[in-house]
Amino acid sequence: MAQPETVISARNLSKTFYVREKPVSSIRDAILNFTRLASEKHKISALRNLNFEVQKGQVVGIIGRNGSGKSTLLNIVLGSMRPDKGSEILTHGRIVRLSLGMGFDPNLSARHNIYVNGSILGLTFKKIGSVFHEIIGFADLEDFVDTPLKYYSSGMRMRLAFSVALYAEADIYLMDEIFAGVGDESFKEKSRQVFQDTFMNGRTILFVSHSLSHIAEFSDKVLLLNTGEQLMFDDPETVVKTYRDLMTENNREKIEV
Amino acid sequence: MATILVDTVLERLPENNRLERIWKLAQIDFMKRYYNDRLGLFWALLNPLFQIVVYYLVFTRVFSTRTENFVLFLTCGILFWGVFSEITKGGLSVIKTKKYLIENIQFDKLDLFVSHALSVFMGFVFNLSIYLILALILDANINLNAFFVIPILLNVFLLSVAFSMLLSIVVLFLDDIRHLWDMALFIGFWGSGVIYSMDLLVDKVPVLQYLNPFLGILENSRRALLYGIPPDYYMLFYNLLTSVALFFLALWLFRRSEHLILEKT
Repeated sequence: MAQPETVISARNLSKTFYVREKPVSSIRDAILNFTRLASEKHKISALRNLNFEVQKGQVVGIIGRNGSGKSTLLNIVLGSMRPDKGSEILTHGRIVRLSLGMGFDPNLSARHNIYVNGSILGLTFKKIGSVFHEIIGFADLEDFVDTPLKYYSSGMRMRLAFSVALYAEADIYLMDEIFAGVGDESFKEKSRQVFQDTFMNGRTILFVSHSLSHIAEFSDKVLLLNTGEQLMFDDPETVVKTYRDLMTENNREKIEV
Repeated sequence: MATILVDTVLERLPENNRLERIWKLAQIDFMKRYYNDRLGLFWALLNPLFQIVVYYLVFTRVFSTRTENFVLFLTCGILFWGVFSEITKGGLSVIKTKKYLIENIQFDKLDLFVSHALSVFMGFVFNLSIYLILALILDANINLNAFFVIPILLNVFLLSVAFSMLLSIVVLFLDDIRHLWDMALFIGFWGSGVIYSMDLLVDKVPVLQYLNPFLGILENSRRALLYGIPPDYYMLFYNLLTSVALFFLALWLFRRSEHLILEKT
């Protein structure tokens, strides 16, 4: 059996945002606020000291309340944000974030969007051409291939996004609530099945979800974040239980206050 | 037609996902600019044509210029300058219009700038072929020297992409740089000899041609496409080298600041 291979490793991962009370975003502001340029910065600590490792083929769920730093973490893993000095984040392979409605241009038809997205997701045109009908077929959009996406309903758009995502050839997938509102019940069920049977198979996935049942069902390991701190990185049952306790505790506190 | 040609060429090349992607992005950029109407590509022609007519009337009727073959002289200047100004103006918003890709997918953002520049070049190539037809009708001296237009185009391409990258970094911090850039382009337009000859001024202040690459680029493009004489080799190489250097400098600066894109926009 092949040795497990670490594809994401984070050490002392922190991210601090410096936000000005009055953002300077124009030349006029820069001149007017010349004296204040260096001062009055708010420090927002979005992530503090995360340490975890993801092995190839693992499905890792990320949970936490709103504002706990889940999206910031995905941005850093994707490489589109740089963590603070002293943090270490190593990733191997091509990374893609699958959010619904990802990377679609509303003015273009499904056909063009599939080619652009597929291409950026690492597929060659030849490959896209060969799976094109499968993508359209899975999304049930045969009659709307050349309709600009702005005329699509949100459900249609989501079906298309999910369908394209299934054929993407990346090494690491980042997902934001992949099933939230994916079309009607029958499509949801179909997607869930495909996701479980084919998509998860051997792929490395980091997914953010508020649905504890999805977290429990799909993940091998779960990362629990709370206001930027890593509370736990453990198997799903343990983490979900802790998270439930945490939520009830919080709610009780709120009610008491 | 050109599209079909490139598609066939791409099909024959070894599978290269990146080239395909750049080409697709360029094609789509181009389509989006002109696809809405049946006139399509002619819009790409109409704008320069309109300028040419106005300048022609003003300079022949009001100032009675004696520049030889003035229509072609104008067209040449306006087409080459137009490419640069269109690419850099669009370059200011490349990050904004392509944010939907940057947010979700890990890829080299240089591709966005290259494909945007290519999409402008598509319209330019179309206009250039019309220029060539016009040049044959109006008896310009088109000969083998016309091939020097290739290094000149490369030069314009590198320069435009470099400026686009630089501007897109600045615009992250100072959003109103676009107004300043409009003014800079205006100065550039009147200071590069787009619509009249700058020879007299350059003879007096030779250092100008080292500061403004477009003086050399326009001069050499006219030598290649209008007068049919060899280019000023010294300026050709000087301009090419400086734009290559500028391109790598811009790329280096862009690489250092691209991680700020999501934080700043």
